[in-house]
Amino acid sequence: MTYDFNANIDLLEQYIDGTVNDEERKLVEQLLNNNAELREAYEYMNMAVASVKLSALHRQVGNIAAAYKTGKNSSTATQGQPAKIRSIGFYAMRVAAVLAVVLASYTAIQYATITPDKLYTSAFEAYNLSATRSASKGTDIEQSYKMGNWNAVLSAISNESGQKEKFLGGVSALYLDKFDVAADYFNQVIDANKTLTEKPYTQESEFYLALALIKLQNYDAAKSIIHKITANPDHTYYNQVKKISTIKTALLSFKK
Amino acid sequence: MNSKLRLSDTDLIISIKTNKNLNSAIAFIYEAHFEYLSSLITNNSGSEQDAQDILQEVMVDFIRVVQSGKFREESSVKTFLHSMTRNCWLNELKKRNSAEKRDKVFERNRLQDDNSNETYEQRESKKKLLEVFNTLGDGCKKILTLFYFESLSMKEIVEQTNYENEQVVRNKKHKCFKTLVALVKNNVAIIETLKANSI
Repeated sequence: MTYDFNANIDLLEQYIDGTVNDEERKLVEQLLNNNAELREAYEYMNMAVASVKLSALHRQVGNIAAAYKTGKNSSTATQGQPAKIRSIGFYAMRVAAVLAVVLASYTAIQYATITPDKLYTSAFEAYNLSATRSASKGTDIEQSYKMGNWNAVLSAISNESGQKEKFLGGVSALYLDKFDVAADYFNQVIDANKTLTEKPYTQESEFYLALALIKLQNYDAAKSIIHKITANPDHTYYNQVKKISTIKTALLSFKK
Repeated sequence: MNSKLRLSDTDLIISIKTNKNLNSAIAFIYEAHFEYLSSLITNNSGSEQDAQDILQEVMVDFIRVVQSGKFREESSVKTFLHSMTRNCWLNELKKRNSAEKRDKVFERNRLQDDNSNETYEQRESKKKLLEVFNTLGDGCKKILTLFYFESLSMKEIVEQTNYENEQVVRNKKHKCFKTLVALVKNNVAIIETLKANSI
């Protein structure tokens, strides 16, 4: 293998950005193990990324701190002021006007700011395996899942694995940003349950499948699942899915 | 801001760890703990402005500790923030070279949780890292933030900026990143401290 430092630097950046394929990833890891110069460059790059994240987080916290301070000052400033007497009609018109503006603004803001990432993040919730008091600590897959060892969960799943294992595999794949893998596992669980009376992990799989489909920008399929869940108030994820809403998913479809 | 949101410590940590509703989580910390933490500083030689600056820094550090999985949940969030605030303020006093104030300030029984105990050098290194990033132009700052912090795709960045297409964004991001890496590399002092402390 010929060694081209500049070419490898570009590859290193792609490695940090997560845009390399498996073969390139292995090559980079091999180069990092064997080349001190490249390892040093890798450290610089990681620090550069850290500086971006640190700065953005500072700004985010600063904005919230400023809003907190403003809120505190305004609540202090309004204390002790006499209330003005207004008619009910005045308030009704004012409320209607405000609602119209809020609705229009909300839609405009949603359209301008909504992204698959934001929608996914707002609705995602960690799936926690319920604790058990029995002596059994669960299967290896369950243990790996509890430890957050997502790769180990995926490695341990086979065709013979049951619905629970495949569902945990799907959630693990979500954590690893492998959304197509996640969707495949969730679909396997749903399909396997179609002919069964009891349908273990179907509702859970439907919810996380909708999230995976949003990330995969397959909005029509996502909307179909969201419709199904919101039509059933008894669905385990009814309230959670309401946060996604078909409107937001439709906005994403328009933006696509 | 007068949110009625109430979060348990566990929910708060999950929110921060998963980056889900992070703004609400930060706002909640301010509402629940700002007055108390602020008093630790204002009652110990600090001004209100000192309190605001220090608490912003503490908040950033707390989020980073939680997101890196280093918050062990052996103490409550409030206790941990107390410890971080105290250490951060002590460091600030140290910087101001006011040994007398430092010796008088706070109780002597330091908590054992070392995760909350950032060194003066670490703190200064992070400041330097922020300064380095801020020397970039606005265009570079925006594109790198959208890519590395917001985790947006090239396509989404095109939608949020005035760049013509994804390839233009990709080239610009690559150029900006190279500039930033060179700036970091030129600040040898930062590098050594960061390497030593793996910030």
